[in-house]
Amino acid sequence: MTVYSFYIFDRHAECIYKRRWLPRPTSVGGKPQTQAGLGQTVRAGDDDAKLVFGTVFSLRNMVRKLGGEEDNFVSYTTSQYKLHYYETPTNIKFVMLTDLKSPSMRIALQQIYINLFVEYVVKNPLSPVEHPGGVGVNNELFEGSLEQFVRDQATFR
Amino acid sequence: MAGPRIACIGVIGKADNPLHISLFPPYSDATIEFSFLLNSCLDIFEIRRKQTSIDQDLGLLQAIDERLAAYGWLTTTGVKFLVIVDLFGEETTSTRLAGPAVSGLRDADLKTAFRALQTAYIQLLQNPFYSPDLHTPALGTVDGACQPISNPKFIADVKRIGETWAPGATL
Amino acid sequence: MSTNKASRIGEEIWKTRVDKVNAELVTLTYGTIVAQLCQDYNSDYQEVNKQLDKMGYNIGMRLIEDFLAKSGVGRCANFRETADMIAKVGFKIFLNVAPTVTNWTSDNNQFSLIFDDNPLADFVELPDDGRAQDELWFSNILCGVLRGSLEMVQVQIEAHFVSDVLRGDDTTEMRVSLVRYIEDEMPPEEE
Repeated sequence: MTVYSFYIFDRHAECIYKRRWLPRPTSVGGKPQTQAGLGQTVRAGDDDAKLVFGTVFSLRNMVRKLGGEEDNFVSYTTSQYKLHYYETPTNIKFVMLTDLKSPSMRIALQQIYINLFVEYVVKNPLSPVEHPGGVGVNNELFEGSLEQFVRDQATFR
Repeated sequence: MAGPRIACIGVIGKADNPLHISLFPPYSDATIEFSFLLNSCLDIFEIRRKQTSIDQDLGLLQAIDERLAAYGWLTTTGVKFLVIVDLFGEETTSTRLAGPAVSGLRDADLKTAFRALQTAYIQLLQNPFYSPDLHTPALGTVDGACQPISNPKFIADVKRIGETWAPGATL
Repeated sequence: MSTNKASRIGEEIWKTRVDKVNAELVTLTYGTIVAQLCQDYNSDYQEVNKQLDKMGYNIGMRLIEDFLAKSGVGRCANFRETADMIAKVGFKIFLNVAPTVTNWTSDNNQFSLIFDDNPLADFVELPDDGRAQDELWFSNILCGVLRGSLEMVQVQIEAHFVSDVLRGDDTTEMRVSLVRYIEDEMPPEEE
């Protein structure tokens, strides 16, 4: 299993954390040209985060319209990638893009929330309560643990 | 006949400053006499604290006369509790010849009183609005002028202890 | 979700998933904060109440995440459910008390929490200056905590104490009113 990228959006619809690992394959069956090593952060423009948010936001609203307030979508799949989605009652949205072979990452995203985000970001008294521009989320403990977590996921599946 | 009763309870601060003194009948008006007695006990504290370093309970400090005896308790933080016991009790004043009751009192009998006092004092300290600094004479002041404890609950507790204590009683 | 079920969840989390600390430490820490605030604001108790509420609000905004992470509960269906969740799970896991939910208004938008036991106020006696008894809400931080945490789950409320045993009242009661449910925020418009 390969994790391509990971996003966190806060309740103000702002992307407060973004991380990309391997670049998505550019064409079907084509191998990625640059083999960016696992853990290498690639900072791209803001556009993909906005697109991702728009997608999950609309999708979530549509799902709720059709399936009732309690309903939520878990993931969707394209021919290229799989998008996994988890939302907390506080409207923090966790999104992960993986390859097609990946099993459901809903539990994994929930664990990232419970064991990493709450522990290392929310409970850090020195980080602000809100994270405009990602302030407070990009701390060493959180990033390091996320790194480790994703690596473990990739190894064991 | 009535057994031993508490005649006076004194709480004395670290710098020998009186924090609180309660008197019990029939000595309620003998303020000066008991201040004097408590004062005389402080010197005994000084001597004893050099000898015993482990136990807070100093037991009998001095027998003042055939009726009154002073017992002391010294906390590690230097706060002193003093209990002066009237060995005959209140009602015996008219029947003084009824016989000596002195032998009946053991140091351990006072332990419950001291424990209760200490508990009351700890509860006082746990009140966040009680500031111990206000009750410690600032270094350098000659007369050691500082306020006695004014907390009504603590005073009521001390009063209750003084009135209900008897050898073997639970407080 | 019924009150009983909420109680069970609260018990369960309290037993298995909560790190405990010494109660005196908490009580003394909180007491010191309040006493210090009273000193800093020269016994302007209205201001102290306000500051406590503000501190609580900031705590609440974080605490809710920990609450959700520990409890794993989802969104409440109505305000009555929210009340049970606050009383039987929230207060249970953070303070090990379970206040009684009562005095509902007929529109189900206001209720009271009655605290039989308030660990924040153990040992406390309000200052004897003739005003604290009428003006200071010693545990006012709790109002802020509720306001902050509920705001994060899109529920705007107003909370205040109406009585406190520290003031000589028979009970300690907090009044909580629903103001509105907050809509999801939309991303800012692209220019």
